[in-house]
Amino acid sequence: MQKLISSGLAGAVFGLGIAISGMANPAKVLNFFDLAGSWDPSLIFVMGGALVTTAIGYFLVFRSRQAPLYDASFHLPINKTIDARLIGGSALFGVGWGIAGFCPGRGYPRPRFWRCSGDRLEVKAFFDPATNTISYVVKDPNSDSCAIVDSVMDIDYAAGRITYDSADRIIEYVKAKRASSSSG
Amino acid sequence: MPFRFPCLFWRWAGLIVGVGVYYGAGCTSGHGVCGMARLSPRSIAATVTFMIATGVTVYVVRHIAGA
Repeated sequence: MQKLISSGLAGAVFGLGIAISGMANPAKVLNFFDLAGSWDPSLIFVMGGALVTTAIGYFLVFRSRQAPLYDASFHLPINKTIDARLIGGSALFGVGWGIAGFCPGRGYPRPRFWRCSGDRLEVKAFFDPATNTISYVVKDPNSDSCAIVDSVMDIDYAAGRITYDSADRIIEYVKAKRASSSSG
Repeated sequence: MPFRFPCLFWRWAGLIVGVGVYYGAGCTSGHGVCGMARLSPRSIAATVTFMIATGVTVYVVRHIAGA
């Protein structure tokens, strides 16, 4: 039971670290490897930081303890041979990671990437109280294209004036969407 | 640069990652962090291999195959 709780806590801390550092975001991971394009070096600090912390932790723990608190012994890999299986598997993992942008550890904190919900249309509704009209913006998730359905022009009959407040709201929204989608 | 990838490819990529970590016996966390922190030669070899493979794949997908 204590073993289960300590494993669970360690897992939660690990997941939290991955989520906060942005490494659950495939776009960020892919950008780290995209030296020829939109290079984002921040992954090196996440991996480097994790590596240094782990190395210090291992050093302290292995020096002072023969076994973990809740187990009879440490379970460390004993295989020392570098073979084709290791290199081939790692190369294959790299190819898959390069395509998708996540590794098993990095994929779990954001399970929606497994379900591809990003392929759904994004629909946003705008209500215009003066004319009792609902206008919609429908965005294609795989591109920057939007369609505007039932846009309204505000007419003040008493003053005989036309205003564009509703249309301006929609235009603002579309502009914000395009800006956010083109940045990845 | 906006980059989108068809849903189907994500599933194949997931399969490739799964097969790769099975034969490679670890991923970024296992080899890259835990193994390298123990200075394991196997882990260093695996990490260098998958880092290069990932970089080459990203280059091919983004700049040669085009998006």
